[in-house]
Formats: sequence, structure tokens, C-alpha cells
Amino acid sequence: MPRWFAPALALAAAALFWVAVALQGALDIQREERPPAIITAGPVQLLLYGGDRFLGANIESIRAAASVTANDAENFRLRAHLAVSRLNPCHEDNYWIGNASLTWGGAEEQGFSILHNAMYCRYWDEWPAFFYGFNQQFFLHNVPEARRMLEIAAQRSPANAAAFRNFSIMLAAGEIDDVRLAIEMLLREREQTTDTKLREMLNKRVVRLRGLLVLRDAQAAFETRFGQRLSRPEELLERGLLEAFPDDPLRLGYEFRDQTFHLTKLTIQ
Amino acid sequence: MNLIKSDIYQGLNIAVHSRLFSIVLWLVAALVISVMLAAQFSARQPATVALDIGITVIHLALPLLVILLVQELFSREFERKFFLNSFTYPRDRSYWLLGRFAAILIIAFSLLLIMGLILALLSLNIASAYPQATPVGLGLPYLITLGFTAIDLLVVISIAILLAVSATTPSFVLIGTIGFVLIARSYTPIIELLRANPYAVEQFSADPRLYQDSLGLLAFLLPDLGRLDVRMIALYDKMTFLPSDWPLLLGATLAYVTALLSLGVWVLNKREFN
Repeated sequence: MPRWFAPALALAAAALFWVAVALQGALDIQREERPPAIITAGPVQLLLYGGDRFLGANIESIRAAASVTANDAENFRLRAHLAVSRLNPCHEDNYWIGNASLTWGGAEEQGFSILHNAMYCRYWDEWPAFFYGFNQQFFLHNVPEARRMLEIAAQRSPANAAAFRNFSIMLAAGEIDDVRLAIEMLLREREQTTDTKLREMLNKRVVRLRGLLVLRDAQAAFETRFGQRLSRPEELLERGLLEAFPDDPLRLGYEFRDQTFHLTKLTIQ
Repeated sequence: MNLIKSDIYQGLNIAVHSRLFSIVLWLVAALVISVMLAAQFSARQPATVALDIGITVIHLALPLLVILLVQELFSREFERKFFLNSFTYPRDRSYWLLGRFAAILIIAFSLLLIMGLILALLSLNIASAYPQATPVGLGLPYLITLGFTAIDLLVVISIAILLAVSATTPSFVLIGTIGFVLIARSYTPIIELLRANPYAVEQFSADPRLYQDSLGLLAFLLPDLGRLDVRMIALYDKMTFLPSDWPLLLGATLAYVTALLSLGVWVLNKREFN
């Protein structure tokens, strides 16, 4: 065997390996845009993180926040936020971002369970209770439960108690324009944050809610002008009240049931 | 008393002449870097996340340092047959063990204080940049958290020493201590999580005490280091998160430490060197 044979073979084999890696696309930068797919169960995570549930909660919450703007990461975020909520239910970022990203991103039931855990763990914090109450009204139209939560929020915060109780009374009287209010709430959250990714995430949810507002306003205009209930959403286009249906940046869309427009829920795999 | 003083001094001397200082520098650097980075990832509670990650780093770094010190002060002694010299003095071997235990204790607790102080300063700095809705409690709650961490460290030191005097290879100290700490720290949170998540095990909804009984037996073998982690009182400045039976918890852990150390002395006295 000639002396050059072994190094040449090594070089050739290495070249082959690199070509194979390049063909697999492992170095493709676009891959990084994909959300991480694996979420381990809470007990397993604990062992991985040295029995430290707080470390597990922090790492999962950072992972969830890092994938906050990707549309196809919804299923990943769902499980990550829920995992944090079990490991450390008091985590403030988790319930705040989880509520904005899941509840207003079509997964309100998961949002409810995160807020529920946060509300019990953070027994001094009025915001999980307020969000929980507001969402009860918005998604489930459960006014008694919403008012009960608002009362809890009022008891926790002497500074905001009057505002919460006032809101509760308006809920009971049915005087709340909940879509406009939800948009205002998300806009205020967007103002408070300095993180560009978070702002973008909140922006998408605002645009989505504005689309719902356009649909509901068009329906109201239709019903006052023609004096009849809207039976098919297409009528809005046919009668010229809308040029086109609004686009949902989350690609979930809107649905027409019980003769009103609603946000479509995320299908969970 | 004078006899044990010389042992402590000797232990400190060996530790200082090993690579102690460079390891300490690395650990402090790891603390500062991870705390500053972690704070960047939090939108609404950067100081809490910084403190949280910092306590985690302390919880991971100090046992590592303790294991290295025990290897240096105990295993190496047997490996290089230095005991031929140190055990020839006409006195009990327990002085030797307790003296070196005290030396490790002094180093570990001083580093705990230094890292705790650095972490408090970093958290204060981060907290001043962003006023949180729920500020961190850096006063008494933080001191209590560090105190409970010190008790946790005491267990780690004792188990490492027991393993070192009974084992013949130094690597067993590393593996054994890490395994012990991992299980002792995680079993209570795991039971809690299993209880909170009935989907994890199908039979669980039928029998909610399924794991409590079998895993509860562990509590008789291992100290409950998971509940010694009381950082929530400092993270959210709410003393209600302190376990209500904390005197019992501390008493049980200290009893466990005493048992481990006496066992270590007994094993060392019985051990035959050839």
C-alpha cells in the first residue's frame, strides 16, 4: 500500500461526509426558523435539570418566548407554556406571554389553565384574575364567573379595585364592547414591552382582532340597513358592505356560527 | 481542640495549593454571565429571573466544588498513601476526618457568601433598571434562602465524605454524590408533579396515593433536599412560601448529616489500609 493511501482515503471519506451533511441540509439556516418539536414531560425534565424545577421552568419559558412569532410554533408553545405552568405556576412571564400568545392565538382553553394556575400561585397578583375573568366573558360569555374573578382581582389590588368593580357592573349590564376592549388591552401590553419579537407577536393578535371587529361592524351595518339578520357571511360581499373578508395574520381565520362572527380555534394535534 | 485546629489548617492548605482559585474564578464567571444573560430573556420580571437562575447556578456549582475538594482532601490521601504519615500520630482518626470536614465547610460557606453577595448586587442592579410589579425580596427572605442552601450543602459534603472514606476509587465519589443529590433534590417535586398531572399515569386517577406510598418510602432513606429549596420566598418576596414545618425539616436534615458523619468516622476507624 503506498504511503499516500491512508491520508488520501481519510480526506476522501471526510469530503464524502461533508457532502452528505450538506445534502441533508443540516447547515441550512432556514432550519432554525422551525420550532423545536420536543417537549419532555415535567417529571423527566426535573431529572434532566438536576431536580431543579425552577431551572426547568425558566428554560422552557425562554424557549417559548424565543419562538413567539413563528406561526407554525403554536403547538410547541402550547406545551412549553403548560410545562412552565406546572413546574413554577408563579412564573410571571409565562402567564403574561402565555395569555397573549395562546388565548388570543386560538387556544383559549390552554390559556385558561395557565391563568388558573398563576392565579392560585400568585395569590397577591390581580392580573391573572382579571385576564381570567375577561376571557371568561369574551370566549365563554360566562358573566357570573367573570364577575367572580373581577371581584377577586379587586380584592387583591386596592389601587385598581374601583376600576375592576366598575367593569364588573358594566359586564352585568351588557354594556361592554369586548372586541374593542380586547384590542385596547393588547395595544397597552404592546406599549409596555421593549422586546421587538413580543411586539410583533402582539401586533399579529391585534390585527386578528381588528379583522373580527370589521366583520362584526359590517354585520351590524347590514342588519340596521336591511332590517334582517345576516344568514350567510357572503351576503356582506354581495350587498357591498365589505370589499373582501379580512386576512388573519395567524392563518386561523374567523367563523360564522349562531349568527355572529367568532375567532376560529386552533386545532390541536 | 488544638489537635483539630492543625487538621483544619492542613486541609485549607491543601485546598489552596490545588487549583481551588481558578475553579472559584470560573464558577463566579459562570454565575455573572448566566445571570446577566437570563435577565435579557424576561419581559416582565428580569430581576426575578436573574435571581432565580443565579440561585440555580449556586445550587449546581457549589456541590461540584465540594466534590472536587473531597476528592482532593480525602481520595487523593488514600490514593497516594499519605495516610501512612497522617494516621501514625497517637490519636483518634476522627480528628483527621472532622478537621478536613471543617476545612471544606469553611471554603464552601465562604464561596456561598461571596456568590450570594455578587448575585444580590447583580439583581439589585437589574431591578433598578426595570421596576417590576412584584419586586424581589433581597433582605431577610434572601438570607433565609441562602441559609437553607447552606444546609443543603452540608448534606452534600457529608455524603461525599462518607463515599470517599468507604470507596476505593475517587470517581465513585463524583458519580455517587451527583446521583444522590439528583434523587434527593427531585423526588418531592416529582411526586407533586405526578399528582398535579393525572395523565402521566393511567392508574393514577383511580388511586391518588399510588406513588405517595412507594416514593414516600424514599423519604426514610434520603433527606428532602427538594423542599430545602425555598427560593420562592425571595423571588416573590412572600414569606408564605416557606414550608410551615421548616423547623422539623431543618432538624431532620441536620440529624441526617450527623448520621452520615458518624457513619463516616465509624467506617474510617474500621477501615484497614495495606
